[in-house]
Amino acid sequence: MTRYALLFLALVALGASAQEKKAAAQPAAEQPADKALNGDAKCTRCHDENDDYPVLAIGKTRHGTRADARTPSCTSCHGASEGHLNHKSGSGARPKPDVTFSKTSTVSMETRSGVCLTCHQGGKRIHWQMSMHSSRDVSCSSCHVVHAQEDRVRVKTEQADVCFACHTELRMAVNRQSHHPVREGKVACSDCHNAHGAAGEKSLVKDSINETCYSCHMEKRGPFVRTHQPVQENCVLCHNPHGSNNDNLLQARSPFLCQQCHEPTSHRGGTAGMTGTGGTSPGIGITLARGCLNCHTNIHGTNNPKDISNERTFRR
Amino acid sequence: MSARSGGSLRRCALALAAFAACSPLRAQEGDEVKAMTTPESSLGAGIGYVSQDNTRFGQYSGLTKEGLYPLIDLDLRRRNDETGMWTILRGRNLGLESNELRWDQGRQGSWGYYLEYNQTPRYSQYTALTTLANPDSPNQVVNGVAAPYELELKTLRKNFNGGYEGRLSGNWTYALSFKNEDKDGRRLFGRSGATSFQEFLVDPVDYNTRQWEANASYTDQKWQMVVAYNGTSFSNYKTNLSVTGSTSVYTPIALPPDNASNQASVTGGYNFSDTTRATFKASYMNQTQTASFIDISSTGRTDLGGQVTTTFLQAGLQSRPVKDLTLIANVRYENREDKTPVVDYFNFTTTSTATGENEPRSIKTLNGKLEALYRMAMGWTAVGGIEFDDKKRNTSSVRVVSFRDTTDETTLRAELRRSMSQAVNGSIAYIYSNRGGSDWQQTVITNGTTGSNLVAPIHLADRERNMLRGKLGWAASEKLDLNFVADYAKDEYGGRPLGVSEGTATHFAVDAGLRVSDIWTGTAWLSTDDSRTTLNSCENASSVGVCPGSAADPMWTAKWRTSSFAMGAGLRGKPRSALEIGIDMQYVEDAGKFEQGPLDPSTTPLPDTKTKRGTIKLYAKQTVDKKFSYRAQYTYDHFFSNDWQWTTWRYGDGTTILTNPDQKVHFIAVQLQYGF
Repeated sequence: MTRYALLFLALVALGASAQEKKAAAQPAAEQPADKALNGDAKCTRCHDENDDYPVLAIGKTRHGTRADARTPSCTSCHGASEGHLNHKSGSGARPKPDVTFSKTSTVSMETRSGVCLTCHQGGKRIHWQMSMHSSRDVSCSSCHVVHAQEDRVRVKTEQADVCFACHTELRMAVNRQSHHPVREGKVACSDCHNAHGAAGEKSLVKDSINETCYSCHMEKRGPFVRTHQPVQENCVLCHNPHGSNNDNLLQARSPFLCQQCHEPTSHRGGTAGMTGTGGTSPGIGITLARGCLNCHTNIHGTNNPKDISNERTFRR
Repeated sequence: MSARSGGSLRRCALALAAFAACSPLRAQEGDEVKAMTTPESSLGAGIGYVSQDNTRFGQYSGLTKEGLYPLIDLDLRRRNDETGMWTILRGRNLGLESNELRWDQGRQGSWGYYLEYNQTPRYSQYTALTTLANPDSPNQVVNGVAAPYELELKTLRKNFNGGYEGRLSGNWTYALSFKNEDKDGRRLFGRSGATSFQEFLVDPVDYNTRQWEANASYTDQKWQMVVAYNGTSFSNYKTNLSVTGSTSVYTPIALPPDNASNQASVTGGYNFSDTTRATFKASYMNQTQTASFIDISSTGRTDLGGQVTTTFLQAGLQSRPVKDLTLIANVRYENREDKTPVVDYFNFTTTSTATGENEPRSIKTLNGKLEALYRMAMGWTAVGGIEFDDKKRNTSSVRVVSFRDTTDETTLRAELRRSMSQAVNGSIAYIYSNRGGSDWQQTVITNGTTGSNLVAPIHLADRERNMLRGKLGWAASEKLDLNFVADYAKDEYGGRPLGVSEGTATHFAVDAGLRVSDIWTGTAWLSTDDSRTTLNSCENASSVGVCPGSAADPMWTAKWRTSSFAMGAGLRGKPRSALEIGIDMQYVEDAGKFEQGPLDPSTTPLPDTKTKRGTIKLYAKQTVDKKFSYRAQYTYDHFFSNDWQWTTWRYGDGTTILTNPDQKVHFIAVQLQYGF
């Protein structure tokens, strides 16, 4: 019974094969078909997802949207690679494609990034060549993964890990007790920084540090009737946006932070301590709780036009 | 038929079947290729359990209360291969307060739009035990409630964003975007109390922030340009805080005023050749603040009439005059001009440290950079650069802090590095900078007397900075990558006897990537930080800057140090074809030391602080079939701190703050995932 069943299966299979062969007899069908990108057949005849360099997942991405005429073929990025394509077996090691992006590639970073910039130079990448990343031999492929549906550096919950691979000191910072919600995946490095370069300082998304901070903290912008000079000049004079052991991302805790600028007249030269009163003399009044800000509550500025009891010093 | 012939027939039949099966395989292969090149979608639904109330583990996710939480995630992607039309719906944490939902749709290369909603909670790490009444209101009553109650301090941001982009013609595209954020909640606040003992209050946050942008972009091989308009507005629905229940005079308290801005900009880049490129940006912003005053002004004005204009210009040039040499030049200018009218608001008669006028703050910054990179043999590159940064500020005629109109800083940078493509690569960089500035404008009190001028504010002081940074990457084998980073920086301040005199910072990190086998991969890292600052001051200096220097009012030095140690490790594996497992561990320890001396005899020294956090995450994903899988997750999070900042503190109204210093949370979650 088994024998007949196998014979039947074989006949069915042969019949199906005949149909396939008939189809295969059409001249066009003899050409290998593109799989992921337009014109990729010359590459995907050998390379697929089981290869040492799996390639087909690019078909799941924007690059693989073949209806968009702007999208690339393999050779758009990897070069014509004639030596690699036409290599005859038995004639030594197959040369690598003209442009490769792996960690061990010997292709210059400028060339690798240049491939991407052919299409992606505009918009937020206008300043790439002036950027610290570019001049420090970081290429697009150092951070971006193209042959995958998800590019980790473009996923908010995973982006920071890509950045921390080099910026190890910031990995420390975001884990401090006072931090922006980077480790929680609610704020990404790219919310503040443009890793592709920017016209302003520190590769920030806005032209200055303060303008970048105001994107989310616009209540601090003012101007106010009473302004606090360093607040207007630079938020990071008092805050470390990447993380701090002090509450509210402060660079130092009170009263030391304030004593870095303020004269020691009146109560301002008081020593920090665990005793004393809640007043302004040395001790807990300027050290515990919010320290100097226990009284100088509106430290970023106040718009109160009236001075009743010296509260022009950000107390009302 | 003999047994032998029967065997032949079986083999023959098998061979025929195998041969013939090759054809359907081609069809099957087509399906497999399609599956491998078609965007994948997934849905996940499950439930998570938080073992105890906390303020750290769930600070930004909302997982702060013991109990069950729905866990819903989705990532739906559909692409029409004929038209290039994408439709994407992504949602994360849909059962939590930190939920995010985004819809994208568009024909790639032609047009597209998105709509997005997301929330970010922030639970304060502190809980107030207070008798304050009406904490969510702008009319709060100190000791307005008989019995103390626990008050949760929390804010919630709700964002609704949208945007559209399209192609105009040729190389022109345009984009419109809009962001709306409502933020409300309670923030820890306070004021000077009736008898110099501070009182606890709540900032009843109720903000709306809007940002919108329209831009047009041109891109071709030579030219790229973006012309943009940006607008912003900030509204505070609770403009002041009126406080009763105590004899403190500090009421009403001004809360942040409404403000708005409009900005126009043009950004561009031009490739003169394959080796030379120029970039530029020019922008102008007008920012206003005309919120009605919360209190009557004796000037007769009803608002500040605040206006700040900011002009920003940047130009850069990058060129490779010869094959191995790259030159970069960049100059940046920003003029932030505070044009707010100056009015004597306070009409002081008793104070000696202010004129009563508002103090508009203007600042001009000019920054320039020149850098040369020379590529040598064996993958080596040498980098040399010089950068200058000049700032010019305005000030008022009466000051309580010494001031400098201008500061100028010059930075020299030298670096030698070996290309990242080598098995052993690395870099060593040395940076030196020197900041000086104009003569000090001394503090002046209103009667014309020179005030105290002992401190050079840290951002204006003369400063010499030396930094050394080394990096080493070593691909030890095909299975092991190691990366080392070591930094050292030292700042020395001068020019004044008091203030910060010195600061140092060191950082060391080692990262390892390990491919144990085709099944197991791992990562591990370890980092340390150590920063130290020295500050000099004195107690009770006179108004003209004479320090008593006595035992009761000593000249003193504070040396505070923050040191951190952190390590992490992760292991991922696929021990069976249908099973993925992973573990991530992280431990962070931050220590603070505060050495002061000599101390005022009445004060007790500050104890050291230590904050520790350890997290272990385990997950397992079992695939049931091509579409269904289960994911189980376990997280243990332990936060500990012995920080004394709030522990013994009691507000004048009796409020205390609970710091929740030792929090251990177990979180268990199971999710059914459907992929297609």
